[in-house]
Amino acid sequence: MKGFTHFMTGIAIATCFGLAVRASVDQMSQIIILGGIFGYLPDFLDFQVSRFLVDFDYEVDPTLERNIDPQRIADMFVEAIHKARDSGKETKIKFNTMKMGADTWRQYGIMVDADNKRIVVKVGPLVTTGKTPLPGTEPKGDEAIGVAYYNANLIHTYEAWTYADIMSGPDYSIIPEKDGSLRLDFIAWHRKWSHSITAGLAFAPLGVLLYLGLTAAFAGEWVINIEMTMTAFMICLYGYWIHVIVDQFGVMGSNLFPPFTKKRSKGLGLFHSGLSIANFGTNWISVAVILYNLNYWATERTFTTNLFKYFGITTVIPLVALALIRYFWLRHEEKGKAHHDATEGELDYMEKMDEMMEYGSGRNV
Amino acid sequence: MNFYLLCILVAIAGTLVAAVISCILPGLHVYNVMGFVVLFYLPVMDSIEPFLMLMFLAGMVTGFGLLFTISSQYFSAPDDTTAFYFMPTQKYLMDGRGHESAMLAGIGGLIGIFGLVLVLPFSMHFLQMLRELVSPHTHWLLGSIMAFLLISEWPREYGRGKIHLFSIGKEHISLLDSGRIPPILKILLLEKRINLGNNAALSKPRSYEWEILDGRRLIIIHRISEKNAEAGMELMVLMRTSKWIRIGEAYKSKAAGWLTFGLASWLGMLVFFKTLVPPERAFQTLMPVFVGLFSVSAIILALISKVKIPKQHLAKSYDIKGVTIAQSGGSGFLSGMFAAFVPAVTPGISATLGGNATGLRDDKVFIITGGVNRVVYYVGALCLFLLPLLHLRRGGMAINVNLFFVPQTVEQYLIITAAVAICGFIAFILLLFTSKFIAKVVEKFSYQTLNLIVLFIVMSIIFLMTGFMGLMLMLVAAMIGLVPVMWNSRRLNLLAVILVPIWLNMAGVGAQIAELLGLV
Repeated sequence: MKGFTHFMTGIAIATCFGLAVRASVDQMSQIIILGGIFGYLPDFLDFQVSRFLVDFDYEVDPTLERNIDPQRIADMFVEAIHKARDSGKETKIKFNTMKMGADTWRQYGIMVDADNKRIVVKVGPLVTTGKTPLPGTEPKGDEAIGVAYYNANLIHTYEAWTYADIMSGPDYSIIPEKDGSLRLDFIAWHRKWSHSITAGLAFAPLGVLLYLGLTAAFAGEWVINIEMTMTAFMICLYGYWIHVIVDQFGVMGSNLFPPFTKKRSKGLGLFHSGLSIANFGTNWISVAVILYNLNYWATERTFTTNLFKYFGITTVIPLVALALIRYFWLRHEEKGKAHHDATEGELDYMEKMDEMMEYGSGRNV
Repeated sequence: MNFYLLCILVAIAGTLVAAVISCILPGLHVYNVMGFVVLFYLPVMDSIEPFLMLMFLAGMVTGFGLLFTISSQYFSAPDDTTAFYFMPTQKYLMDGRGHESAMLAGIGGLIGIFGLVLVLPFSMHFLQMLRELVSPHTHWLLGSIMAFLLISEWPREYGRGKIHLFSIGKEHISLLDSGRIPPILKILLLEKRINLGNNAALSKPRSYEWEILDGRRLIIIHRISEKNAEAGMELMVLMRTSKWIRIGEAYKSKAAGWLTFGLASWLGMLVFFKTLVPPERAFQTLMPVFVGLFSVSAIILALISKVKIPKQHLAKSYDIKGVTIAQSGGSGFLSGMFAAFVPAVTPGISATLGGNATGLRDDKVFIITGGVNRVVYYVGALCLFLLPLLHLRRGGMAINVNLFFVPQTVEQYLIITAAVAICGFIAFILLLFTSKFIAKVVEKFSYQTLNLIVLFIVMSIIFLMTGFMGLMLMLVAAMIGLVPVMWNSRRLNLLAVILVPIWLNMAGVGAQIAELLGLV
């Protein structure tokens, strides 16, 4: 899910605490914001901290070359695969991007062709930061393609192109398995430990410290109200956990109980995280929950209705209508076109690329 | 003459005035112009019907909502609302598609007006209820927006942390190939306080790289591709920095964002708690600040960057799909209404939140959404003020109008709605022709001269309206406005100038913080 969506679910969770809502009216408390911050925190930890801490064994850095050489990139990838095979250790490779001008980047694609045991690298056109290709800028012929063969049992679920173009490029971890095969993991540092129940427990106390510190700063003295402190703890914890839970609806899943578990468990696969309608729908539900709670905990209620009627009218009916419109619209758009259902691997990859797009790049606004 | 017809004609006159202002005086905000108009109107209030004045202002704000696209597109004078879609529009301009971009924003404006006319009359009860429910919580709502802006700005890092040390000659390749480190390299590294030690050796050379691991930093010696090498081939020596240095480098842009936020907050507190401009012009205090933060900083950048506008292509069709209109219309309308409804939230902020909430990325969607958002904010604020049961006073328009007019009847609201629809249509036609004309001539002018003229006009107006202190305030704001531009961080952080003071006041600690800052 997008960062904003997680932020909103965190706020929605925070409004479930009557003490927090009432304190925000009676004491002008800002405690509800903690929910949003902790709802966002797991992605912050991954994309704004963890990814800078990874030491790569191999880094493809085409900026060093006057002209990009696809064969060298393919060779380097194969070398990394063989290193992982021979050493039995995880090997990490990063494909850096190539900035050519203020708003132009050289695109290159990498494909792992597991059937033919080869890595194919293709140099693409110059693209803008909005990923719009500039016509006529692609290199032609042999200079545009590099192919290198590897000798290993590489398990890769998505045999299609990964592109390095704008901002920070993609990276892979090549992880040796017990059976001697090698597992290729795209942005392996993502959801490795941060998107977990245990991390939530570890970070929630920091939220409490933040709350106490800010309260003391404004009050000019340490004021510890046990009830409010406990509420702050629960808001931080549930805000964090709701992020982890919402992400389980996607394909990628996460490692739920590190250090007790080591691998990411699969998600439910209902949608991929960048899907507009999924984000919009989740935000819609969050807003409905927030408004319901603000009314429910208010001293004088603005409206009176039961829970089922409220969510039926404000949430179920509009979202079902929206989903139906989208369904028929897509059916109309795709009429006559060849249909291809994305595989699980493709969905997993799309989800990761979506998150890379959001956090690893974006507009400067 | 029929009174209703007169009302519509007056509103159209307002739109025409807005058209002239948008094209001749870029960088000037409609609310500042409005303040100016109201200043002249108040002494003659008894002789001119207040409702006619309101119609004039309604026409002006509608016209401005659509036509300000001209100055922001061609004259690089973005305000707080256009900061949101500044980048794609500028990209379109530099691709020779400035007219297309202006029209996309204009189409967005039309969608916004259509939405307002269609939706608002049926939302009275809902909006009244929403206001009652949300009003006591506005302080944490603003706090949440600020928290999101601060944490969601991403650190920028495009590759490995690296330092280009120097280039060494071809003669060292045989030494490197045999696994030894050239003495000259050791000496040069020593100058960088890196002592390789006696045991340092080259790792197994790959096809074009060698690595030295000295325990602290990885040093990579990179040979430029043989294929592309020229006579006297060189090597580049790079140091891969430690992970913490990498984080430091990446966080430079984020730190610049936080610095911008802090400086803008301080400036906001200053203008909210100190009277810096002549007291009789106090209602225009924010004018030099906004002009400095958004317009002057962009003009300075344009002057430095020596941009030359390419020949503009006049597109005959804009290739917009139905889904693009639906997505940008929905996202822009909701975010524009959010900005019109919640105090201190400007379209720039709401559009960013809207874009995040819906996960839309495309440049066209981005520009159209900006157009919808901006019109819904400006015109929507006026409609919400007049909307029966609600009469919400938000934004400069409602505050200025409220000085001489109190909304009373449903009929007034309906006339205004009709005027907005008609003026919106006229403004769109004006936009079409004006944009075409400017697109044809803009390449013939020196962009720098144009920006110098704009700068002169803007500074003159600021001086005339707010005096020397206003000019100083504008310059300070412009310096702050340059921080995000120079360090590639978010310009939205500049909006802390109004967000922070209003948030602190709503949370009941504004005066306390101002005292801490030595402002009261």
